[in-house]
Amino acid sequence: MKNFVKKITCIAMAILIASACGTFTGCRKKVVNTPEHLQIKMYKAGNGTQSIKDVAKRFEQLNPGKTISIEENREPRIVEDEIANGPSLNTVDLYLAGGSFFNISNKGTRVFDGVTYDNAFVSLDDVWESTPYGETTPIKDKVYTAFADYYYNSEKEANRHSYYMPWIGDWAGLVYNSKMFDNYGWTVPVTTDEMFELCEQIISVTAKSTNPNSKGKDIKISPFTYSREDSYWGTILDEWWIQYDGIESYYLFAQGKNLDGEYTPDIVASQGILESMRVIDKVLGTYYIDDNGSVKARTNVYTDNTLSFRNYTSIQSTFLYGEKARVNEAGATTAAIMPNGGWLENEMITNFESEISSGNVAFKAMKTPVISAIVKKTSFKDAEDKDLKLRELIRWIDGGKVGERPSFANDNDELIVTNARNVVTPQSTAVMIIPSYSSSIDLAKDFIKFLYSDEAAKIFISATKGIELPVYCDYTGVTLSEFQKSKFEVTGRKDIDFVMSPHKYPMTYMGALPTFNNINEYGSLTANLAVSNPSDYRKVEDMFLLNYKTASNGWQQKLKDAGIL
Amino acid sequence: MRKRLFLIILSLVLAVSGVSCNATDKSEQTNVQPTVSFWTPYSTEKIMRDVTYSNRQDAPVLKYEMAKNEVEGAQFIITPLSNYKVKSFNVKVSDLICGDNVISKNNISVYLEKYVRITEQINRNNAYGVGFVPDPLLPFDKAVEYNENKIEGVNQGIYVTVKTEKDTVAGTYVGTCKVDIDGKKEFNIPIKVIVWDFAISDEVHTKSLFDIWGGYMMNYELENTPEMYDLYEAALNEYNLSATSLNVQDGTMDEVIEEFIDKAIVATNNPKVTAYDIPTTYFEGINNDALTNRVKLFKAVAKASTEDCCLFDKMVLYFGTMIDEPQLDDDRKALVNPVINSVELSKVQTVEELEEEGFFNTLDKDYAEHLKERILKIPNILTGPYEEEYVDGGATYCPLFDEFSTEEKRAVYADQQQKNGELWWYGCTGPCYPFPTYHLDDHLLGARVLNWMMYDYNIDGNLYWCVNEVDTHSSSIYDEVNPEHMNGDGYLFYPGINYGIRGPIGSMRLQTIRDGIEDYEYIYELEKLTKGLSEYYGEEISAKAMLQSTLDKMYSNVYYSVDNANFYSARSEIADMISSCTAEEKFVSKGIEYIGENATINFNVNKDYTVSVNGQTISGTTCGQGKTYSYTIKMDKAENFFSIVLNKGAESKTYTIDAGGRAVIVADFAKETDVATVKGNGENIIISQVNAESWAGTEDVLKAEINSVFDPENPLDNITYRPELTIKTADIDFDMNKLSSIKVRIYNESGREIKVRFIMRTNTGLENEMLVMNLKSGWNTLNIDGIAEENWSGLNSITRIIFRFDNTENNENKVAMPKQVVYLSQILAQYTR
Repeated sequence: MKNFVKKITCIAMAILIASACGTFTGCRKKVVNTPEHLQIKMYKAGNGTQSIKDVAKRFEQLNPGKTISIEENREPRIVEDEIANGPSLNTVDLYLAGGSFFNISNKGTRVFDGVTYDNAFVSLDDVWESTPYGETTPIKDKVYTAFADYYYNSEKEANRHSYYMPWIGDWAGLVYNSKMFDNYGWTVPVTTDEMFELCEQIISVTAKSTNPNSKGKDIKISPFTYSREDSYWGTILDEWWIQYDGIESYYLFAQGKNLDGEYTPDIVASQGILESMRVIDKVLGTYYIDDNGSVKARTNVYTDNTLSFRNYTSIQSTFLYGEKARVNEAGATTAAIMPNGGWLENEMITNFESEISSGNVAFKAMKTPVISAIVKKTSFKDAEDKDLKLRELIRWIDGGKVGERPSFANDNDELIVTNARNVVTPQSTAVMIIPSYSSSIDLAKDFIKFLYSDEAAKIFISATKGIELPVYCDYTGVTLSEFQKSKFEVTGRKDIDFVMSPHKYPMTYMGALPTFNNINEYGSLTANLAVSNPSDYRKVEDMFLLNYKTASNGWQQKLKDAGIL
Repeated sequence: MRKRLFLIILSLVLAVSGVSCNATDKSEQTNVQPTVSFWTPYSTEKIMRDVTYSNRQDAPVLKYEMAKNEVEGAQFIITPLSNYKVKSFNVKVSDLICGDNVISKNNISVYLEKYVRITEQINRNNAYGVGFVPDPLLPFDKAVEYNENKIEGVNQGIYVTVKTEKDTVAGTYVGTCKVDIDGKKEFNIPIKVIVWDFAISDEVHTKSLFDIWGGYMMNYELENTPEMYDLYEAALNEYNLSATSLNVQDGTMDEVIEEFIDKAIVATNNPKVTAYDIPTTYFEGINNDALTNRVKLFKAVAKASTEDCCLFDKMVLYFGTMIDEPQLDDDRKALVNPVINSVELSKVQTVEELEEEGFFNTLDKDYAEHLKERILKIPNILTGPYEEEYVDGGATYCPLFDEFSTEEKRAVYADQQQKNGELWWYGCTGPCYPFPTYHLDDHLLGARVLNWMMYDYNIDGNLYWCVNEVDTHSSSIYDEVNPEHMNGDGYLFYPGINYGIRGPIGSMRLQTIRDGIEDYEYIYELEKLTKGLSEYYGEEISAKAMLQSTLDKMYSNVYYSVDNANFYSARSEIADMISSCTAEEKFVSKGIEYIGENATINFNVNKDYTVSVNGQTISGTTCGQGKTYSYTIKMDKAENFFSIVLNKGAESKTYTIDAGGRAVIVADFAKETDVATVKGNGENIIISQVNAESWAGTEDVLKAEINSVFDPENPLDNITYRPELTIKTADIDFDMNKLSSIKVRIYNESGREIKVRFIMRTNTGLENEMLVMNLKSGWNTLNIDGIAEENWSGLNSITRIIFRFDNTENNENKVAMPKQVVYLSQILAQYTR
């Protein structure tokens, strides 16, 4: 009997093993794929991945028997490639992706390996309603309001599920060399006109290099610098546009609608877009077109566009060094301001840690100056000193509205300018997603709940040198760098209007609407203004018109492609 | 303990092996009779496997209406009832009998509709979502052999084709399709085949290039030999389609040329083949070598051609690897003109060299001219949209189907066709529904109507990029569809290897495509017949004019009607037209003219017949050897027909022509009250009522004077403004639930052509631009068709109709539009039945 049982056991095991092999295609590397193990795939960019690794380690300590593995990936949209593989080929339980994927989740029902799911991703409604580890505030109230509204509240209101939870708060915008500003006594501008006045000041400076290898040599300071490899001007363009038109208008734009809720290509002809383009033209343009239609070189150029062909690391280095940048035989140009984001310090920390800690290098986040054209909407639009008035009003707002409101401003002025000042672009709309076929759904959700706790938020920010989770958290006790502190001054209030990605809406992710970095026929706006050949220069008004014409052409078909018509 | 362990293991083994100990199979019970229903949807309907169609319990009849020398399909669906599980079924068909005449059962093919699983809805057609759709057609004997003649889901379709021969006698044939369920019960489904008294040509007259990719054959057929390619090619020809390539094997250039010529001769003599591409090796390119090689090829082909077999008649050039879809890639775009120029040069050089050699002098003069012309006009296919920057007339445009969605765009392509010689089109991942597609998650009807559109829009050829790119991501193409390239894009065949068949298995989509191609032959026949009738009646009898109102029922601007009944009714009308042309009475309908609420039919008849229409005897006027008649009806009923009865002695023949649904004047601008419903969107628009004496026309109308609002000094100030005339639908008498088309009479007094856009706007602010038209000076009629086919969320949501004009010249926002003056007469609504 014993032998008979043994034989049966062997046969059964053989059958089990055979059938188990039959459900997998081919012989593959063994992956731990159990409910007790969480496999995370994480987008690695300038933020690094140490933050999540540290959080994961702590989670494992708190949850004995549960393990986490983290795989890094440099492709922000890896989810699109991998999700369709199904559970037999894809064992990732939790993606910390570099974007959101409404183009996938909006499709609804999916089938993977013969099994039908309501969606490609797991609904996270229950996570939003739950509380972080050891806390009482629900996650939906703990996460930055704009993020919670975008990913959860708006979906709930529309009787839809939420499939995304954000994992990067932080900010993108303008960074300035604060050491340089201090040295020269420059004031951080609050309007774009003030910004251009500052540019005039900057270009008038004759600076000398303090680099030991080129000490005393002339070094040019350009007001702005950037790299075409990762321009980042798109963020600022959007902010100026939204400051002018209002954030509601922006979200409606992303859906193809105007303020009346009507689908119309006329949204592309918004004044805010035009005004924003005019500002960037002045920032980047080497040329202008005079009243006779002739292309002329600008006397004062605020960006050295020849530098923009260098890679972003090189540009960032030169910027951070400021006057400490080395001057070679060809000369050197540093810059006072550049578009960038919260990742800057972490990204450059390897070469700059000691310089930063010693105070040789100092840089801060700048609140994006309010677009001066906004005065057209104010009661003081006809005043001779309208921009001065605007600056005064903004500084009063920035100061917490302490004391009397400037007398020239009325309630509407205060509202318009406050809203404009509150526009901030988050670093990205990076999200967490759980594939619907994950074998560790509960564990993934539990990890997310821990991630949103104060404890995890502090671990996270400590590891990233600046990037924070998008949660309201008291970081008392955490040592923040000067750059980090300056970012919180930009983002730290609850009334901040974070500008969320327009890619939630089919009209945007189907490509029906132009974006600043992709104007048809002219390619990138920033690249086409910053031309070196005068015959290539285009007036922004012409580009604006072309943009509108392109959007209008085939508008009908775009509505059909987006499933609206 | 051991016993328990044994039992655990045993149950584990059984569980692993899939044997259930607990389920009882009802069909094993000898006293249970099969409960199934049969129903017969149109062959152009896709019935999903697991969807319950509650209102489809028609009395089943496999019905066919067809010409001679044609293949036509029909289908029936088996739906088990009361949870009955069909474990096996069998299908047998009988001969079809019509008096002494027989259509043999050998001319009847029975297929099991296999289902493939859609895992993600991609196409915009909400009629098909995630689930199993029918497509592969497995010969039924193979289904039996491989034990697939059972029912897995809610429905199981069986597709049955009937083939008539050229000498099949016209008439109504009947037979039976016996379906045996589980060996217990036999059901009979009647078969009825109406064979019309005309044959379609052996020769196919719509060109096609459908590509077979050898690499994909290797993936799934595990064979990429010339023989396998030949099988695929022959299979394509069975569906009246042509393979893009003649599959010339690699070798020296001389070997390639020789083989190409041999195969071109076969292809040219094959009536099913309409086009073929030249080999790419040696000949595709823009450098001097490629040019020289092409000249060599063309010269060799010229010398191998004969009067009876001109090898250039079907030859095309398709440099797909270089300039396919150039709008998506700047590099490819940059190559378009160099390719065009290089190709042109090679054609011209070929002719020049042959002339220098004295070759043409050795030929019959007419043939020599034909040969030269054919060489110079070899189509050079460009799969992409028109661009001004491309050499004018240099390319044979082959844009996507939706590029033909407006008159304006069609005019552009027609112009290029005139200069170049041919015009093609294609579909692939795009466009999507509501345009025709070959996607799995879309209607079949669009694929059939496509060929009617080709006639209407004078499109010479249809291209498809691949017929066998079977899904490369799924474990089996027969199971799950990969949505990566849209569901089903890139393949119409399935590998036969899975069923021991050497060669491909076809699909419902291919059957439908063939049906559409054969439909086109109906028009070809009609065109031939009308030439003879033109002589008889001494006036130009236009097949197009005869067909237009019928074609208008099938589609509008490439948007097809999804009403299958409507389609088959229209097809039947066309068959009647063909029959009537050869019948003694020589009845020819010259089309229906719609003016206001009236429809007038004009037609010709043999003068020996007396004519009555809708019961009223009418007289005609002499027209050549016959007579011409005219009759007007008011379109005031839900269904309006012309019932035309022709009598000659005891002989009587009736033609019933559908005029459409009720037509109602919903706005008559002779009335002040209706004028008051029209509003302009600015003080720059002046609206008034004008009586007949005060203007060039002969009726009381609404006058709109439209002045531009544009300041060239501040061109952006009014960038979004466009002058409009708006009418709220609540103010006029639209029955939105039934609205099918709108006609508007509008007079242009601007002194030049002006553009008007007709827009329907919903209560959510969505605007649907239904028509863009250049108004000529004088009277114009805006025909806005296909309203019911639009994806409205209920037509009740339409709240306004808008006539929109340009504010600046060419909409360029540079120069103000001069004053525009229009007069509106009436708005007529036509309703569905």
